[in-house]
Amino acid sequence: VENVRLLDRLSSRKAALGTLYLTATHVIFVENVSETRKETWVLHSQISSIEKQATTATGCPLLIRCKNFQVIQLVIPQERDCHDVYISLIRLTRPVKYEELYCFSFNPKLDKEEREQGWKLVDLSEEYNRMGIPNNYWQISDVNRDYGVCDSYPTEVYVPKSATAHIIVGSSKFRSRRRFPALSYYCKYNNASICRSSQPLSGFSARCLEDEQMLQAIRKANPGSDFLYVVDTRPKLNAMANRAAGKGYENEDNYSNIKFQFIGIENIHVMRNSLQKMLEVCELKSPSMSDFLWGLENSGWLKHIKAIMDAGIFIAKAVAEEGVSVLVHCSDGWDRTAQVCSVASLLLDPYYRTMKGFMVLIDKDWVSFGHKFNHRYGNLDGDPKEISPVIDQFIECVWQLMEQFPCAFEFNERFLIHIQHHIYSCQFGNFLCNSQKERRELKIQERTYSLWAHLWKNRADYLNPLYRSDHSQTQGTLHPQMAPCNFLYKFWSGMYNRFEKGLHPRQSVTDYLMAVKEETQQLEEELEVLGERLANLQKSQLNGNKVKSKQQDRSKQSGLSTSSNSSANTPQEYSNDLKSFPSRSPSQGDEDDSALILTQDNLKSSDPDLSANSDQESGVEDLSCRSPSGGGCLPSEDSGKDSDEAVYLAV
Amino acid sequence: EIHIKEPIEKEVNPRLLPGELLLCEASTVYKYIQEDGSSRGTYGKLVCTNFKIAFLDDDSASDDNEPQFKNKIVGENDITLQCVDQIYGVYDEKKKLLTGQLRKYPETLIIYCKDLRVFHFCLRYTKEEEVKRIVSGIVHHSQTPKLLKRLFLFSYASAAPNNTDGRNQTVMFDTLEDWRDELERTKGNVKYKAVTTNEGYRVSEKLPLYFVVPMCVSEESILKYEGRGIPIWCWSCHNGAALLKMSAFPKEQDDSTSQTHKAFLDGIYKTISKPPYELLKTDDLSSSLPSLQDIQTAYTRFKQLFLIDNSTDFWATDVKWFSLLESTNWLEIIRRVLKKAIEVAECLERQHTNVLLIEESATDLCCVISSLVQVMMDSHSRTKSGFQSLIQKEWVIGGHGFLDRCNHLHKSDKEEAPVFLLLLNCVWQLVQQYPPAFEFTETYLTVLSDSLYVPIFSTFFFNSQHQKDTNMSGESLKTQSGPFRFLTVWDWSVQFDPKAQAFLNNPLYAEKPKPDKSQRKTARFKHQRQLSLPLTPTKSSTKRGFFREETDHLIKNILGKRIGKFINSSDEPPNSFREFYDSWHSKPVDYHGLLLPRIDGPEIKVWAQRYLRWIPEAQLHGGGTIATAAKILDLMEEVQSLQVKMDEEHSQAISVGVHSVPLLRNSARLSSLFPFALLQRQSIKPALPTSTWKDLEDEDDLVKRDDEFVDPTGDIS
Repeated sequence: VENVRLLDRLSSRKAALGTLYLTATHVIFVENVSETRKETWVLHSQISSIEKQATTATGCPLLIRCKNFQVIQLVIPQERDCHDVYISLIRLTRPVKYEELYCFSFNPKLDKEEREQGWKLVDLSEEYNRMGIPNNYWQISDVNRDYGVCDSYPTEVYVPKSATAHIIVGSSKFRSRRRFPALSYYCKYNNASICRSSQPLSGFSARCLEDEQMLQAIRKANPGSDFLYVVDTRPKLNAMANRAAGKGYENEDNYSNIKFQFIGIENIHVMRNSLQKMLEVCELKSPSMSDFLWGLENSGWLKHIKAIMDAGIFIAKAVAEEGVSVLVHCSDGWDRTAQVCSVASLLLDPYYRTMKGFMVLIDKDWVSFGHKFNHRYGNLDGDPKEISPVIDQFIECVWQLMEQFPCAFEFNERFLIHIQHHIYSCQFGNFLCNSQKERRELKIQERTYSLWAHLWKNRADYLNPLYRSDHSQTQGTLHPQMAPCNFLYKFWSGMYNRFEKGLHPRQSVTDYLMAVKEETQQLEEELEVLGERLANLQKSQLNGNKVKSKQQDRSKQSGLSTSSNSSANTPQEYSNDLKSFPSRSPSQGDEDDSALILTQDNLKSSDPDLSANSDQESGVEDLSCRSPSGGGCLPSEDSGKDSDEAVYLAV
Repeated sequence: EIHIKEPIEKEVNPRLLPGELLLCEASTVYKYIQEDGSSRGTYGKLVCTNFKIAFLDDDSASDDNEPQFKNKIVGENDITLQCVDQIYGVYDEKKKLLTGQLRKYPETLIIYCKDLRVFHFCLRYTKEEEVKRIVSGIVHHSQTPKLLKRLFLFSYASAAPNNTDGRNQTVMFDTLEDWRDELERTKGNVKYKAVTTNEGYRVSEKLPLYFVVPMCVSEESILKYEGRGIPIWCWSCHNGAALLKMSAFPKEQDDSTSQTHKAFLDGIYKTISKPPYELLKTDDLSSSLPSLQDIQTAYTRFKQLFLIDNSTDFWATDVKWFSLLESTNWLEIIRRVLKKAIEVAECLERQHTNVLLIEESATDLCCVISSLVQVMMDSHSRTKSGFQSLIQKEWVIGGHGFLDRCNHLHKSDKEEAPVFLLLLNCVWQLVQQYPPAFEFTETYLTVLSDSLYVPIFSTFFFNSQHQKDTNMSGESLKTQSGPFRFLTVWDWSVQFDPKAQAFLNNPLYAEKPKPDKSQRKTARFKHQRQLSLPLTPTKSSTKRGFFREETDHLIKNILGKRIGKFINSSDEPPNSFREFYDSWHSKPVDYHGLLLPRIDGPEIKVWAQRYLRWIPEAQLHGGGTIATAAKILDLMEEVQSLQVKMDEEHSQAISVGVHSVPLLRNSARLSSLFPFALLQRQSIKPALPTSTWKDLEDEDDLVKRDDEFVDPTGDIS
């Protein structure tokens, strides 16, 4: 469709005129301005809603909201065109079969072996080995090998050694959706562990011997402690309401030596509405102080984030400080339980705060334990009431922790944002389906690619420059404050307003440091090159004159003294070379260059424009070089600098 | 019941400054470490001098680990008399405000400080006589009206050894030369002149001795109405447009007087809007900004949020924090002030017009706006000395009534308004949005705000230059000789040793590269290398700026030949502001050029360092911004050592001006409240505070809600 206008939400004046394309996978808008040809690409799977608004004199407006919080407003001149676009988008954005999703057509031009390598990057059994398992207390169980006990669990489940198959099966029958207690994290220093399950089917009075034995076995697997925490992450009222349906929570009287604790994290529906309210605040054109503060408070979003964090902190404290094992559950044990377990693991183990470790963590607590990615993030057309920003909240928790402990994480904000983007994008197979079983049936690993390999390949982009693995802050347990949420928990505009470039603080200190780091690298490279050239020169000189070598050393040490020394029997041209070389490079040329190189780096790194990046990630790499900010915003002076630099380097 | 540790009888004497006199003291005072419900604390002596209230810890002798950041004048347990905000007494669990005469003496004394510290002193174990003396002493000396001459400033100045005022780079603006230099620096000297009309304060006691007016303004007209109705120059923009301020005529009952005033003003406007002067835009700040009362009310409410008695109350505020914050209106005021400053900057920069700020006295909001505009537009004002000079120019010499606005003398509560704090809060917003653009840090601003209450510096303790001058000459015959020699707050070495001063400097600040002059060239390169920091493409931006300027001139020459018309700001289409704001924000930032703050709701933040620094609950061990800062300082150190190595290697032993980098050893577990955190404390926290907010929700609603969404189709997938 031609002559479509793309409206900028912030400054209503600048509407870009261009052409709209619909492909099988993307919506593409190309601006008409000839020199830039700015392109905006949106994956169909990212689109959460399309709204056709009343036709105005200028045309027919179409509002597209995306799951990554981008809002696109188009004005299409012809009503009929608009309707066509609308209808086809509705169909395209609601796939009914997994095969329609982008990851099955996405091909980053890797061969089979590379793809397999990519999937092997994260290996969970290796991860359990890292935790020190199997050991005397814990073992791998094959009870679920054909998903015979629980279809939403992985085939390999780690359970206490003393828990026999009989106990596990018995316990699973007493748990909602048969999700029996299984190991999530094990602390090898004090044997305390975090286990997870779903709610027991206790109703008002039901009991199950095997389930009681199961909990006993978990407690005994931690010989240092005489009790076990059972954490129900739901609000008490919700848990009580469940009792009427024959579900509920553990009765402290029936289980020996447990301490029961409720933590009021709300259910997925409350969270969905809360996010909705917050996004409404985000969409305000220029929110005043009161709009923003009231809106934020009323949405309750930060309160919910804090509830999740508090639960994580509680568990981390129990494990690290009290040395007590914890069993965590909510209702089905795949939403709040996943959030809470992963936050606790993140606090406890510095490994999960590295890039690789974070991938492992998501695979362990979310993917393998059957978090319903398909339902929660609406990959396939489904029940809108199943959609909820569960993992978004976890990612935000991580971000809040990063804000509080800027040096503790190996990765940066961009890493989180990209993960969030791909959870919805369906470009990689990692987050498809609702369980491991479904993924195996679809042969995901053979037909799609792994996001982790993609991120790992570009890991330089995701490094936190403040992180040092040898630093004491990066080791050990993190102790976030349970302080009132308003003091420490902030609104993450980098996430929710990430497409409003105008709203971003342009260059954070971290970006600055990234630039410094890149500069250092450049300088090091330069140093290497110069060193080589020096060596070459020396060599050629040695060939020419043997007496040279001494003088050379001296001249290297003091560029100024060269002239006096060279009075011996030096051919003039060599000494000239030498003299100019060391004195010039550090003080002038070098300097000039580094500054110039930097300006470019700066532009590159301080331009976290995801709409551009998403293009590159969309795998359409041929086009990505023409993508919006890839080259468009470089000032023209740069070409001059480039040549400067080139001239110098060529000298 | 408190565990009574037998207080050790030991003579602890307060460290007194020159001229400081001990007024009263009380021993066996028990100071709670923090009112967190527990009653941990220490015994000591509470003293009151003519400078401060101080608590002397009985067993403070063995204080080995000196804090890295220490104020040499005001210690951790010192409260200057001017810093006391309010004093409460606790009688049988009830808090009562203490002012003036007391009949009954309280068991516990709570002192709220203007720098947001809260002290709890338990007097239960103190002799009754001493209680009487100390309580009435403290209340009398800190809360009742006093004479200017009784300020500690004077006793200190006459007793202290003649401090050589090591004139630092700050321009004081107390001489004609300073003004002329400033005119030259901003290239305003073509159309504006510094005048000596007010020598001997002939014109007005409110105006400074020297000031700058448009060339065309005659001496007679300045003298006519004591300087009222005269546009006074603040600053000239690079394109020649100037920022002016004017004190308005008071509302006159008499019709004929107001007629003559109006005629006079019209005449003035006419003269100064003729070429060569630019078009003129006026802005009456008293109508376009919140009143001083509004500001005072908002701040009073706002600071209350941070003056916390005990942690239970603190947790309670959590539930409705954002609405509490909103209801104070303080952040909204900051936002409005920033917005106004952007509007003014837009007129100067883009519309190329002069802006005349009008206010009754031209010494309150005029100062805020004009200072902010200069901070935003003039990168010189973002250096430390530049900012200090700016404060001197607009505030100290400009005649802001610090004495009245801070209510230092407790003369009249009505005059009190935190105008200067408002400026610091606004500047802080800029600093946190664009840290690399400022030579100073937020710690600098915090420390500056604290210095408002330290009466050994003259800077913030006079209402005007005239008041200072008249009080300075030792007119009272008792003093031995000559005028007082006051210290200026800009001499930071008085309060901080070099190590601590390093925290006031921003390690990431890159100085503006000097314009290319052959002899400067080498120095410039050196500098860049030394800092080794990325510079924004200044080169390109100046070019761009130059180009824009050119076209603007062109446009102006074509369109603006006619005599500039006087436009009122209300006629201005609101869109031009938005457009200016948006277009600026869509370009890369030049840290040495124009800087516009973001003013959307989410971007205006609470100045956490100043307001939260004494609250242990807000403390993060090993986290917070200080963790980043510590890393950067480490990096700086590394760069410097590499620099030294490189110099050695090349024997180009040109020593580089090494900044002292504070060494944050063991920085890994620094508290986020550093450098202000008191001793590390463990505060007792509820295990799961989530329950508190639960209570507020409607329980019925909760019960009705079914937790699980039960899918009737059954998703046994």
